[in-house]
Amino acid sequence: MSDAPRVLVGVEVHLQLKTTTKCFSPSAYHYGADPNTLIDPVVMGLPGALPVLNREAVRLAIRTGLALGCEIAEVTKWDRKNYFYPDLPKGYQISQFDQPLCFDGGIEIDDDEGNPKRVRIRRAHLEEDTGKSTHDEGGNKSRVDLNRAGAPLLEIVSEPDMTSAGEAERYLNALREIVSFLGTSDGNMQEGNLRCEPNVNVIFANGDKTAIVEVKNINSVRNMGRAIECEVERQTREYHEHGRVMGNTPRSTRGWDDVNGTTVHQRFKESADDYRYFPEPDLPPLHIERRYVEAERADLPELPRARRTRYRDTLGLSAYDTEILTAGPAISAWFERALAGPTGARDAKLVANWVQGELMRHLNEQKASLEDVALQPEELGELVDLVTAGTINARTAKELFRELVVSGGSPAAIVEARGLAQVSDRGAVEAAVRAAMERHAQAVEDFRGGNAKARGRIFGEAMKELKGQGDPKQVNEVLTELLG
Amino acid sequence: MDIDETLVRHVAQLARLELTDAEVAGIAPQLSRIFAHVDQVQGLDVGDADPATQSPIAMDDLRRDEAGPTLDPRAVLRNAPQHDGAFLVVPRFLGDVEDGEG
Repeated sequence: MSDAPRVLVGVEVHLQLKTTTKCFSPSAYHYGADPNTLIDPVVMGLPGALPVLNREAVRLAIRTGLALGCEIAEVTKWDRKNYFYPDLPKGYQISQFDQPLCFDGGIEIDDDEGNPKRVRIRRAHLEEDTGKSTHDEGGNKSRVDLNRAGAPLLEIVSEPDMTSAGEAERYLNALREIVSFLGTSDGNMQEGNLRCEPNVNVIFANGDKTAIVEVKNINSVRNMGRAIECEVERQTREYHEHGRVMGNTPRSTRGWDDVNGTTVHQRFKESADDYRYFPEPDLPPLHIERRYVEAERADLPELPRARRTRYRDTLGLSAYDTEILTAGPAISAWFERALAGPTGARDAKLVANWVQGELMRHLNEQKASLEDVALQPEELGELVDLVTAGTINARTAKELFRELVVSGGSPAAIVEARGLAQVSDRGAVEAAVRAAMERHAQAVEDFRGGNAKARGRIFGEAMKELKGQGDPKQVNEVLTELLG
Repeated sequence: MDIDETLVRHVAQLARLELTDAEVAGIAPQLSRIFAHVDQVQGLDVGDADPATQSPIAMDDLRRDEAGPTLDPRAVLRNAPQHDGAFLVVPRFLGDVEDGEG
């Protein structure tokens, strides 16, 4: 047993689900609209306005919950969480208290030694977002934009299973990656559709524990890690210098100060009692049919971690190729489509080389994204097939690729129409090599005199003679024979 | 359940109500009587009957994710005590009260 203090980190994530409308009312919601233009009577809490639950919000929440390994409640209900805040017009938030939609899940991450580790997810519940406020620097006013109020949020609460800033960062990255493959949220921290609040405390060898601190206002994965490191250090110092522990120090919320790289006290936590939760009288409980859950489960895509393992272990791709080809849902789906041949999967390494090599180079050079590429993955697959079958040589394939990537089209049809097929007729190759040797008699003489380099000139000339369509292997063989 | 003055002050603070000492003193016994009545009702033997909540609805009963009308932003702002033409303007708040939890 080590004497080193143990760090415990749990993470709460608020994930905005990618719906067209709000959670409980039909006002549209999207990031970046003019302030206070996406509001309806329910959002404003106007008298007589009643919430009606958005089915798509529930579907996306279930889908995300399933991907996080959660159970989905048979019956779930909504509760009012009461508190006064200017970005919450109704004076309460519709949330879920004791019957969350999703519970008892977990995802796998790498621990600090690189070994797989499961982080348990206690619950994931559906609730409405608040408005967004900005505070005058040094002034005495705050400005409120209620567009975001009522947008559907999935609050994902982990168990305190992470023991370092690094683990918490990997957990958050894994979560972001999962939702991006699922398509249930944009998961963009800059736009605030994924927000995270780590809960941090420290346990010392003698059993003393520091009070749990929740850190808010975090805008990036890395800053979450910095905030955790900062809290561990601060809590350890407070313990040694002032004996502050759980019991003599209340739970508190601190804010991350990005400029100074430190956390700042905001408030002591209200207890659940103080929110005076009670069942939302305006919304009936929801019964979720099992067939619905199973249909959603059957529709889940392969998740990034599983896909990575498969690429490495089953497809035999290198770690580098695997990283690139699972970096995002778009590139991964593109690769998958190129891989799937008409008669079974193509050679994964060949396809991977094209995608991470030529295709990525093109995207980087042109600063383009996959949607800009005219070449369809199936067309790349066809190109790979042409090379594999020996119909075209590598050089022709690369030239064709550069053309296809901008214009698209069937490689087989183009090869056929332009007669780009590799010349494999022995007679034609021999004729080309003889012609090259005649034209470069000096090079032939040099080669026979011991200058190995001279051979390349003759080879190049022979390929030119064949309009670049010779099979390099065959041309070499013939050349060796004729040069003696 | 006994409602003392400390609890009344706490709940009043959560509800952002300003109560005078006299009001607090008057309300505590009133609330105690109301709670005693509720306790009495709660003591009734109802067997193993479920709480009479609303009956659950099904997924198919939920609203489709199709955008409906929104309010005219000018009307929204007109309702507010203060605005700047785009944002609602309120006294600066940060730190000591509940942060927008989202």
